[in-house]
Amino acid sequence: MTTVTAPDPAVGTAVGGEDPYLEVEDLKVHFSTEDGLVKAVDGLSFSLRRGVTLGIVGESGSGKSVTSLTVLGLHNPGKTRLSGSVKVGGVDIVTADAEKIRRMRGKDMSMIFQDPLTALHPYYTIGRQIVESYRVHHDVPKKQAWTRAVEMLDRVGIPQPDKRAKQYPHEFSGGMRQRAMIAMSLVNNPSLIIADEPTTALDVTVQAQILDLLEDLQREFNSAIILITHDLGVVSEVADEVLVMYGGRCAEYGTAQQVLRESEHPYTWGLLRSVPTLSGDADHDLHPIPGNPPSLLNVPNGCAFHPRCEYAMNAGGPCDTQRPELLPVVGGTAHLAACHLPHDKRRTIRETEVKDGS
Amino acid sequence: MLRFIIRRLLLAVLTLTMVSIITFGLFFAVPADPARLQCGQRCTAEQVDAVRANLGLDEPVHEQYVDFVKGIFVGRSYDNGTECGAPCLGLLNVGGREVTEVVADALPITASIAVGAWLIQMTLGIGLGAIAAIKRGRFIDKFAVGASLVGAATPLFFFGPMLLLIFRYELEWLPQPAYVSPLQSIGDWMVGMILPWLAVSLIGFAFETRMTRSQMLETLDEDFIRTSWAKGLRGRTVFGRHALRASITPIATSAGLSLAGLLGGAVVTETIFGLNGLGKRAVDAVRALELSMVMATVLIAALFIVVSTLLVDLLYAVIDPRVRLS
Repeated sequence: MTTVTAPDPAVGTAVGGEDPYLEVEDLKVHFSTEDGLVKAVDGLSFSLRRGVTLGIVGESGSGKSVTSLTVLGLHNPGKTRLSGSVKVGGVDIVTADAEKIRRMRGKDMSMIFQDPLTALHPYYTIGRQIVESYRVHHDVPKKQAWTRAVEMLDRVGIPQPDKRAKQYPHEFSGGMRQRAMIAMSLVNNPSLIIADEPTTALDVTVQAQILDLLEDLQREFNSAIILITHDLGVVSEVADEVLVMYGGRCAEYGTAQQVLRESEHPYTWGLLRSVPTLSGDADHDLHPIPGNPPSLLNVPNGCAFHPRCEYAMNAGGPCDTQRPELLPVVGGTAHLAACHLPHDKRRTIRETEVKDGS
Repeated sequence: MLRFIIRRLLLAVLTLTMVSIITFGLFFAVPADPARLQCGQRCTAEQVDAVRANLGLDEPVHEQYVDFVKGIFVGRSYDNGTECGAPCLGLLNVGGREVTEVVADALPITASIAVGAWLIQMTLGIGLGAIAAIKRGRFIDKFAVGASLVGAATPLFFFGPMLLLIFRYELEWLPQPAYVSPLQSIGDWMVGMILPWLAVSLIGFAFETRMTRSQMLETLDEDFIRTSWAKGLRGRTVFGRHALRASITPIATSAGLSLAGLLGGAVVTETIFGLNGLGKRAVDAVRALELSMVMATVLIAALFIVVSTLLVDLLYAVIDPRVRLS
């Protein structure tokens, strides 16, 4: 049992300054499989205002992608057990009827997928796919929707948009394809955009362009963005707030400054230390986190991270028996961490070891 | 595109030539003598030789082959004064009828069976297969899998006579299957063809259902299907416009090949229902050692396969914008 306190929405890096557009409270997403119950997300709370970018960070299997699909209502209703609430613009996705969620999907909340080559239909032109997105939510003639599609392609920086709209996804380069994907996601001016590893499949040189584009569009449309990634570099570049997930739960939550510069959780330290730096001795520099992420079928007792944590207080200590609660960090506003280590000890470790390492 | 078609047509000619040479060669490799068969057991050696000379079977094999091929393009004239205009596929040993005429009689029957059965099996197969995939694990899916298993496992020589027994003799709902030209009466044509259609389409239906189902299941797992859900599209749009559209390539392939196969003649069906289509003619011709007729049926079957493969390949370029014909 954990009680996860939702952070005070009034505090933090205020860009929007209104009520949260997305409010997730004690969300649990469990699947029953042949091997047992998979607790993909197990008690997650966060909220997000318009104009704010939240980075959700974690290894694969930490529950970050499941969270995003659930926010869109794209879970398989037959196999998934949901509890808690996910309020998007005041509508609770967990309890709302399927047709209502469908009408919101793509219009109020939309998704940018990781690999635009496989995420776009190979047999339809880019223009047609954008037109389809627009017309399912707007009752307009095809011609008007086409004009809108070309306009969006132009907006995301695709040259000769009227010509490119008539081409198929395979005729686009990776970066251009992701721009087209973004154009399709934003064609209905969604208030919430979920970008699932939007730059992972792209060349490093193109990554920055796509991130810049997302930031520009966010400013223009004042939308809330959830950026799902395992890349802390991407997070530090664009996120206002960061949520670190481990084993289907929140390990640490706070502003980007707090989580990246004053991190309070050993797992976050591990992530920070496994980012390669360009200076210094590469072998000495890179500290991967030992072990593997836990199986969500069988999450370790106590703190899910304790088997991999070098500071764990095991054998009688609370780490392997008692699950740490997500609590405000001493001295931090809206900075939460779930760790048994006493605060002063965490600070000592961070200042001596982590800073040295990174 | 044009170069692709020309090259494929040349390849088709080569294929047909090879098929005809092999058939010709096999015919003469078989230790059976058409002249002896036609003349009867009591004929003397001289009489048999006379019959053989009369049939033109005394000439060297390669000359006979050249004569046969020439006949197709320019026609043939025989020693007994018979003129056989192009395309001449030779004469029947028994009765001397032109093979081209026999084919012209048999082809509409086979084509009727083939096209009707093909339409039924494609419609039902694709429909049921797609629905089964969409409703995976539900009753309709289990029904589809079961039905296609039964269909695939039921031998035609059992299912066909059963249909006859039930609908023709027991219930007397339908008359004896017979071919009536659809130009004469569409209704009679359909009534006469229903049982052959059902018999033939059962196996094809089973195959198309399973293939469509597995292809759809694969497609439904694709990222772009998840995208179309994320766009807020309705279920029928996701399944129809996105999933089925993306699954169509292998379906088109099998549709083309199965139509071609059916047009080549449905031997068992035609025999069961007593229809004188190409399949039955082919088997009869092999038994009677009618070389010209064997050649004609084999070549026609091969032609359908070659043409349909070419059409399917051309269709790929229409279906999938990523395919470049070259």
